Amino acid sequence: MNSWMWFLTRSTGIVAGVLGVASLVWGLYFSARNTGTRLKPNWWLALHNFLGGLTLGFIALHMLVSLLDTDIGLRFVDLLWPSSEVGWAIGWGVVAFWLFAIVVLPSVARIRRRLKRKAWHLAHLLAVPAVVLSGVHAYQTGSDSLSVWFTRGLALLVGISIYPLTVRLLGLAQHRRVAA
Amino acid sequence: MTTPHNTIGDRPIDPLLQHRLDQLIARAPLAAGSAVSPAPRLAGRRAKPARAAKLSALALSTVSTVMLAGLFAQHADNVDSIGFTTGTISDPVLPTATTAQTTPATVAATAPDTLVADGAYAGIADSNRWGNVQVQVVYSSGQITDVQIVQYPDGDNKSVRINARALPTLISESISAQRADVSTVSGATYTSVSYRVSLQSAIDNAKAAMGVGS
Amino acid sequence: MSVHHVEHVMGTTVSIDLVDSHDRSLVDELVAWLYEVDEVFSPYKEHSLISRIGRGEVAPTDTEVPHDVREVLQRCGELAEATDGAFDVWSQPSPNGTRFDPCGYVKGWSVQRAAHLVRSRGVADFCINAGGDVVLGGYDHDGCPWKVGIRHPFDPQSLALVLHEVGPVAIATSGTYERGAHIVDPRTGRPSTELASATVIGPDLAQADAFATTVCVMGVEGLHWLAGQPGYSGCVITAAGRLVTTDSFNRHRAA
Repeated sequence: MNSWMWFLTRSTGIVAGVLGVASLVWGLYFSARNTGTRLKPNWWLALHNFLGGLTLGFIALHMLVSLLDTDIGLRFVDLLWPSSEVGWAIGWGVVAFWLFAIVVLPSVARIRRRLKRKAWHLAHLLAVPAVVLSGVHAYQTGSDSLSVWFTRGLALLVGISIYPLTVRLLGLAQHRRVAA
Repeated sequence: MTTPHNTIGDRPIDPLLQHRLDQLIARAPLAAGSAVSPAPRLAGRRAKPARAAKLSALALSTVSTVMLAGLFAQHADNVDSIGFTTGTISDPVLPTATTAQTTPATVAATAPDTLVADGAYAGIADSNRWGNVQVQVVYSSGQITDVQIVQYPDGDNKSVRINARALPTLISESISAQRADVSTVSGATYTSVSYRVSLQSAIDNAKAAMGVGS
Repeated sequence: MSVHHVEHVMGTTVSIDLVDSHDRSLVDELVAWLYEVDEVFSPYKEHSLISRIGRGEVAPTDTEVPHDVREVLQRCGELAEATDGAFDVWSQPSPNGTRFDPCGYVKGWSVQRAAHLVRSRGVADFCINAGGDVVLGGYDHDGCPWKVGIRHPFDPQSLALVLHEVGPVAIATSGTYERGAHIVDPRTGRPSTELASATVIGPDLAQADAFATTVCVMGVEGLHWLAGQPGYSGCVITAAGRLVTTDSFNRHRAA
């Protein structure tokens, strides 16, 4: 039974990672000014929101299943706070979780209405370090980090994220130059 | 309010987009204290945007999770186990180490109270879900001076980093009995002979020297 | 106002530490008891009752078999059932040439009896260590909980763990690092080498001793079995140096 918890910990982690990258890429394409008109169809935003929520959901599932894998020996408090006992390999994952929570939860309509746009936007930008840290976490703790498929897949995800990120940043730079 | 026209810059506006713009403009501007009138509900497909995409994302995620887990399970069954190397820790068999030095075992004359001759010895290999791990222990003057992990887990096993944490943690955190100031030591049964060089005897001697009765 | 004594008996060394007593005659009684146990139970002595039972010269139900021995044999039988044969004193290669060696139970049992004797004399604080199996009463010389070290399986001069204990409690450790792969799985006849050592804590040393041997035989799975024994907890150190514990065991560990 324990082995299955281990397999599920890994698979939920992988899926959460893919979902995180997908939400990030979707969001970047939404906001990038260089990829066409800023106003995307309604469904694009809806899907982005959904993916964000789904990512957070799978991260929570990943964390809970990792608790059930008693061989790892995590305590509940280890999920909430990086601890030296457990190490930074898992600690980065915990930080990434909190960052994702800060990205997704304020975007829930009720909360978002109370926030100033600037505050919300700043929080939302944390999505980038969140994805980066989860990549570090995946590489450091994933037993799969020793398998070729995994490292190539991870590199691919990184590449997929970097392109729209660069486009967005370049667009920002260009926009600033135009406005100046 | 400018009247809407059918282009943004040079490009024609998507009709759906136009529809949304009309709605936005039709709404009364928000003033402090005024109630927000609910947006007119869209009918039909647009009421639930991207429903199909959402459902497929959810389904795809769930299915991938289960399938990946199954893949790992299957792969785990196929991993060969290397079996146990039976023998005590004084077995002077040197493993084919990929790491560091392997000092040859010297079976020279050892001081009477040294249990183990100097040299590198193979610890017993451990083969379970943590992988194939073999430890090499280096003795010098009867003390462990180094513990090398000779064979790391590979393939479909827990991360080297978690495992590497598990292995050196125990060894490097081995507690000095003097600092721990323990009253007694529990261990595998020592004989009267091995008692002489055991921690317990050091503790007993210390107690006797302190004049604690006897 | 305390007494400390070391005696070489039963093939090992017993350290007796009575904290709140300077009664030398009590120590003498304890030592005499241990010699008596050795005389009856030692598989190294050809003429001992146990060797004779092992050779079949005496049946366990014979009238000449004292009550104590019968009690020990009965408990061993019960343990063999409880552990599904993992602890079986009738399948142990014995130094006297037979296959009967109850040492895994007797040492702990005799020391537990010694502890009863000590307590019956009104001594509450004491520590008896027989070859690595420990029974504790009350508090140590400073009035604090006893500090018990668990010997490091790979380094004879250091400890893997430190436990804080208030008596009455028993701690037994079984391992392969003193006598090599001498722990044989009675079910397969082969030596068990998955674990370097297993430590069990509980109210009775005889049980703890037998359980420690059992866990060594069963490997890490044995820890799951141990977790099902009410009142007993423990830990194992695998041959690769990994420490695995039952949940309640961690309460005993020093911070």
